[in-house]
Amino acid sequence: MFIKKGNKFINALPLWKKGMHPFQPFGNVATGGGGGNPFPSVTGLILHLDAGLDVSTNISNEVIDWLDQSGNNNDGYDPFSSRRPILTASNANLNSLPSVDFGNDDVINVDDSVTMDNVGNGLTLYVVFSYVSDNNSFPHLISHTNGSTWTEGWGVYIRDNQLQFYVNNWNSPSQRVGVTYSSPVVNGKSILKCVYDRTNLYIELMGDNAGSATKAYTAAINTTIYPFQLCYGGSTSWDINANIAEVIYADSTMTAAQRTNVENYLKTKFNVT
Amino acid sequence: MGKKVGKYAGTDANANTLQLKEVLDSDYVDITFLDTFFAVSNEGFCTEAEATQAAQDYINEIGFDNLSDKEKAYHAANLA
Repeated sequence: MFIKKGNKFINALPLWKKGMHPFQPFGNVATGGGGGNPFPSVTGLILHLDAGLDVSTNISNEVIDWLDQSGNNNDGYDPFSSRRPILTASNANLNSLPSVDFGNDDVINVDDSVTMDNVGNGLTLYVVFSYVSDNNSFPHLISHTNGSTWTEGWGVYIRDNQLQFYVNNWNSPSQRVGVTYSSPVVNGKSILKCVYDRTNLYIELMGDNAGSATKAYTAAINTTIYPFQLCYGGSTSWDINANIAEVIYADSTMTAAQRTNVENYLKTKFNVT
Repeated sequence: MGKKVGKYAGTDANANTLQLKEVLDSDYVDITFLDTFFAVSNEGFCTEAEATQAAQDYINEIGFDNLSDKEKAYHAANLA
């Protein structure tokens, strides 16, 4: 079934009718949970993208909309019709679950319908992804910064053979923290975790390329009016090729117990040890 | 001396994001790599011809063998 949304016709069939398996058939659709592995309650959750839920595509399987499961309508969308990622029904690298696959220059944007700029209470980010390739000096896995300037908000990019999490200014050593990423596993499986609590910047990779690092930092994050972007750093010059299965973003540090619950949920779902 | 690629790291919201100059302005950080010459062009801060010439000068100056592995991969994928 195709429905018209704005000036676009989109494939509005649920995933299972598009040949995808309903991996959590009895779960809470609003949170992506289900069965014995429900999505946990999280303080300040403002974005939850799950490639297995509410992804709309055209007949070429290009992603047009990726609906937010947090209840805040922070939906992902295609800012450029020529740079749409592809929905894969079953990604062997990500426990045979669905993923959104970003090739050269592909991008999904998320606009700020619910104050994604309010980072006074810190932030927590999880991204389940499989690295494919990159071909520039600052490839961004995810960003919420001022376009390609990178002097507001925050971003996660590869730099100096590290996967780095920066806030406020891309080039200040005191405002970024990184884990070794000199030879990332191609077609691997990683869970990225970034936390900023106004005391420390923290980055961790679980699964492939595992590692973690902390750096003390206390300043507030400069807000930005620019969108949250996946696999893109504000322009085609700074993109990355990767498959993304899930994105969880909270406008809070969460509690330690909540973070543990989220990590257990993701590790179980994607079979990450 | 060839041209360098600079990326803005200051606070002026109206400043250009990138620049291509022999001597970079003080708020610009040197991010000269083979791909960044073309980033300046992609983002509209110089012409493609200027970027291509500057990239060629860069390769001639440091020697192809001294490019990083990522630069060599970029060259193979985009310029060979």
